[in-house]
Amino acid sequence: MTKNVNKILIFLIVVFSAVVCLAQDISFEVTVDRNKTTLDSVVTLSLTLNGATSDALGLPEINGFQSRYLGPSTQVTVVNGNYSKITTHNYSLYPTEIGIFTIPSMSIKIEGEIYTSESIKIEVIDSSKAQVPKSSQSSGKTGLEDKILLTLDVPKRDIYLYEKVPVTVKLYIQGFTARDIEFPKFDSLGLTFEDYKQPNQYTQVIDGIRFDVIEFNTKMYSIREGRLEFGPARLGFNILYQGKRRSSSDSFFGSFFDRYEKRPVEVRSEGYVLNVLPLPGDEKPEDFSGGVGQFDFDVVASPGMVKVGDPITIIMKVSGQGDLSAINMPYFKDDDNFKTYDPQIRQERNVKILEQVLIPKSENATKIPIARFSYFDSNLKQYRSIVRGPFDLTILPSEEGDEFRIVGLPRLSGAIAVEDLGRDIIYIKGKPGKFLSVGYLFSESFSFKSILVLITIIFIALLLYRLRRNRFKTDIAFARRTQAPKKARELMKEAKKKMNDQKTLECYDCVFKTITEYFGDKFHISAAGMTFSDLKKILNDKGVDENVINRLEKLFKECDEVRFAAANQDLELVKGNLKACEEIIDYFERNFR
Amino acid sequence: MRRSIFIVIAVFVFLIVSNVCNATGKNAMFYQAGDFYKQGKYKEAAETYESIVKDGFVSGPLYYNLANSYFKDGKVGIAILNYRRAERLMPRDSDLDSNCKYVNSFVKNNANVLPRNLFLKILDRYKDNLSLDEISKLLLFFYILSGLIVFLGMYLHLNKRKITTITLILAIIFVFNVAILISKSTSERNKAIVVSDLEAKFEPLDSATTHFSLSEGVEVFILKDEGFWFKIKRADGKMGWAAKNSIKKI
Repeated sequence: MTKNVNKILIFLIVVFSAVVCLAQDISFEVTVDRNKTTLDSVVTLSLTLNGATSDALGLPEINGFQSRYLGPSTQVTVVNGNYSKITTHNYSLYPTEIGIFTIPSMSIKIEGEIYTSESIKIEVIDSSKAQVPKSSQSSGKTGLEDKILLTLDVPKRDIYLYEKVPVTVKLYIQGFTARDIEFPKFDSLGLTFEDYKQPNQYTQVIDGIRFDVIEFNTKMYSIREGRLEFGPARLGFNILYQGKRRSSSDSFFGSFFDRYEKRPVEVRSEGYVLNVLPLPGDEKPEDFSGGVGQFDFDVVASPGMVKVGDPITIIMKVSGQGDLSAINMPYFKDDDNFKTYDPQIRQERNVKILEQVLIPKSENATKIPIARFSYFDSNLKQYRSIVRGPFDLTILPSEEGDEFRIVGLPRLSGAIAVEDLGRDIIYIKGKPGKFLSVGYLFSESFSFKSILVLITIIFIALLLYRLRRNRFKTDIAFARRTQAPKKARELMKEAKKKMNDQKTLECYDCVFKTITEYFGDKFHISAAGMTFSDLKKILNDKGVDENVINRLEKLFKECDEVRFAAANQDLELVKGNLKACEEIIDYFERNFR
Repeated sequence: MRRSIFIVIAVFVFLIVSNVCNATGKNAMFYQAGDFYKQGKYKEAAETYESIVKDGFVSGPLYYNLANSYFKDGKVGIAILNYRRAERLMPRDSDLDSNCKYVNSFVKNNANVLPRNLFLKILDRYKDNLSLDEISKLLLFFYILSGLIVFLGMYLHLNKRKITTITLILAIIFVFNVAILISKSTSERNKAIVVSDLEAKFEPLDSATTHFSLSEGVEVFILKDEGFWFKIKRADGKMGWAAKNSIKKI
């Protein structure tokens, strides 16, 4: 099923394409790449068939030229579903003599229809007098005036003040690629231009040469009377041309990597003198709106049935050719029958709109008066007035309590008198407020500075404390070293206690533990199994005083004797050893922090 | 030990008592000046208020009342000077603002202030709405707050990114206020009011050519102090030399 649907779809597309192809308009054109050349140059002649195909055509005899067929080229494009096929047969024309020669018009018969081209004139000049480029590739630097042209066009030279006139600027380019094209500019005083519309792009054959055309359209009007210079138009853009090849030996890669360079170009059109005529003053209507051109005027009033006091919306629209911004829209004013509100005016693309609210004051308001729009018709060269209305109005009877009232702020009884307010200074203060010393500034006061210093000290202390705590957590050696004296003090206290209890052995155990743990923590080594010889080596490395080492050795020895040989010691000796232990620790705390 | 504690307490009590007496004296003078004002004796009122200032004490309402008294006595320049002084102590007082604007309307040839862009206008508004003391207190507050947040985050192990963001914002506010404090204290130090009409000269000499004239009540900016002369700048940017006796610093 799906396959069948697909087949049908493909068939329909093919048929549709064929129909489109068949329906395409056929045209036949003969063009040359230049219409002025030298004896030693070659002119390319192209026979272009648009919407049809054909074999190579035999060229007729062309005076002053010998021809050679180069071959066909075909171009197929599908843009927005529009199919087009262009077949071009190219020929080289070699000039044989100097003079002006004519390529005669040619005809081709396709599907029974005969299509005829226009004849083309080509001037052949002597090479020595030539100013035209020898080939299109070198024309990037010379002969641009033949390849690029800017034209400025207005439909008439005599215009009225504020009359909108279309302006067309066309850029013709042949054989170049243009990039970064700017909008045209004008050297004109007293003329006001609208914004440009989207430029049109197309090709156009002039004297047998095909040009790419970019057309800019805008409108302008004059705000000054008299003779005004209009133009020239100036237009800037970049042309792309081939830079020098990097390597002439490798033609493929040479051309592949050819650099295209940009060259800025500014072209100028011819200028005109415009004759700006004043608007005729004699017949000018009193309600002339200021509009110049051709306009239409339309008025709508709704609703058509209202009660007294109900709003009616009037919508007036002015549209047409001319400067809408210069138009003063007509509007209604208060009268016996209607109260009017200020109109709201806005301008859309090609139309100016006025909205106004009218309120019937009484049941006599059965007709909305006429609205008149007067303008100057620049084609007819006279003033015109368009009148709309009067508009019938049905006033419905008011119900009780529904009397006419103006919508807005509630009105006070009687007119509001303009109050004449006096001015003076405000009375003195009753309380003195907080007294300060003259020149006192909190920021310069002792309290401000002391608070600032105190807080800073607290912050620094907190920070240091935090850093120290962090170090205790991460740096074990530091933690042991820092806590060593504290631990030693506690152990020494215990040792003293044991000594007082006459427990000599336990006292010496404590002393030994104090020494080994203190030095273990101090130098971040293991306290378990520590011998004096191990410790001595470390102490020597640290440069400890020899006397201290000797005292320590003695202490170690006496500890060992009491602990392992159960040697008796009197109290004085124990006291002396305890003191020695304290002094050794003090020494290390003072000298090896 | 007991004796020294006794001495400290005695000194403390003495200071409090003397302060209270002093305050009572100032308050009494203030109310007395108010009575003069109510009786229409503006000159006496101004003199009484001035005597409090001479004793070395000031307050926003005191300067305000003093300015009112001077204005009622017809001295526009000194009135504006005292309003400006009052503004420094109570910058958001609406009565003061109203009086200041009104009295300023009596100043002749008040030069137009040079146009300021939107950012500077907002900055000026912020500066004008806070006194120097208030900015200092704000600074202290932000300093303590940012420190507390940092340490709380540190000790309570709060989200580091949030703490950093909040601290950064507070630090920016802190730096901004420091800049405002410096700028305001610098500009306030050099602001002055013309208390009597004068002519600004091209040079600090009596015989020098007059550059422009200044009316009583015009605010100027002191650029330089030289002998009997101030080099001043007017609000419109014009600079000249003015005699010191006609200009009073705010």
